Amino acid sequence: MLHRPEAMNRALWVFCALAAISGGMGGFWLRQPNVAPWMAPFYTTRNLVPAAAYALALFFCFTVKADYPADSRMRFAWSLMQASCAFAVFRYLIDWIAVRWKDSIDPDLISLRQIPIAVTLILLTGSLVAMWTSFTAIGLGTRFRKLDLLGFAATAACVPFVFSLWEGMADSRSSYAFIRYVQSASPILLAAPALVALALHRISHEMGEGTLTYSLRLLAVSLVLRLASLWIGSSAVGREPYYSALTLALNSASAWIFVQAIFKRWCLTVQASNLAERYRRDPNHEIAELSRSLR
Amino acid sequence: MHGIDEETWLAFLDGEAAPGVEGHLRWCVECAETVEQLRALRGTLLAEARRLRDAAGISEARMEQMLDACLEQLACDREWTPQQATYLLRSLLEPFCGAGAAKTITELTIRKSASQGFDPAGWRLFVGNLSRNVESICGIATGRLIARAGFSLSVGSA
Repeated sequence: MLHRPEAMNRALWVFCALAAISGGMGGFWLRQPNVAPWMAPFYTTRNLVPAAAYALALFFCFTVKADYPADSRMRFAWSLMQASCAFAVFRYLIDWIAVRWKDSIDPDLISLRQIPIAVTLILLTGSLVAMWTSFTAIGLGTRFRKLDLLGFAATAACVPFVFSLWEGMADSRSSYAFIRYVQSASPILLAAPALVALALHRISHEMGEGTLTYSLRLLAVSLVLRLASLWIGSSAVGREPYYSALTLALNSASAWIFVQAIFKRWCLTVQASNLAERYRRDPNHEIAELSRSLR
Repeated sequence: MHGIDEETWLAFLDGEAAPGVEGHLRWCVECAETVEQLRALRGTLLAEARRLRDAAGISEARMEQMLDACLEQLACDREWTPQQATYLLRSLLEPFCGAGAAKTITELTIRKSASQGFDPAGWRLFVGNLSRNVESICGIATGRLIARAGFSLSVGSA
């Protein structure tokens, strides 16, 4: 399938839809376990879905990272992205273990999952900042419009709201003080990559239509959706069955949209390599084709 | 040429309305003569093509094939101006990173390399710099593509 990016693209969207549906059912069961008990497996296995998504993203990251010169900022950005995906897989597997065997594992031990969660988000933010600085170095993404500022303000506004609800979060009662601090910082850690992703979204508009542009836009959508899911899930309405379903549906879908974003960037490398090979074999023919397409 | 970009010239020669070009031709003898010569050549080529097709009974598909081969040959043999060659490379880059980014990267490279001028050595320097700038954003594969395409173009002075 990797030799047919179109088929892979469709498959990833199908996975995204399936992830949203299964996440939604899991979220519904969480609040209404007696209405549809058959939905229970969707809740208990829900963390395996993003774990698979980030494992796939990790695979694409290897190729993308190798596509940048050794001393470039983009390579550094993709190294951080790769590390972030690896920690994300680890973090979701721990989450899955925590949900699956929640009655037999010490909650304080489970609360240690906040460490890989925080590391994942810090690495992701670092990666996006490094990407952003690569674009600003060539003069893209240095000016923002009112709509962007509104987006930044709306995203930043989620932080105090979610922060006010942190006592209700899963690991806020951990006996480890540093875990409680890390947990309380999670709204900021989630908002930071979303804020940088919005800046990358502005860059995508300056760039115009292209494969790299789609990748940046999908990245922004995925990170904003993830923050939105946390926001809905933390609010009072998040306890309603349908909103709970929406929260987990958005959360699961955002992981697969993230994979789509990385996949699009991977496609760019594959397309450019194929075309470069064609130029190596028959440059005159390719130049003739290009000049003809511009007529 | 003479303050009119190549696209406008090509559009005018293809029969599109271009008031700027028409106005220019009223006073520029050099351009008016060139346009006349091109029109005459085009007329001769069309008449010759019609004659050959009628004589040989060539199919449309075969005609298309011959035209493709002819255009390809023209592209191989021709010497591109630096502007044309730069425009080609920018167009090659657009599907990967978008028109805006392609324009920004190309302009940045022109600013860095323009002091060398665009003789063949200057062109090689420009392509090398462009390839490196593209690499920093789109990756080595795209940079290599630009280098291969750029070094394949035969570029003369403007």
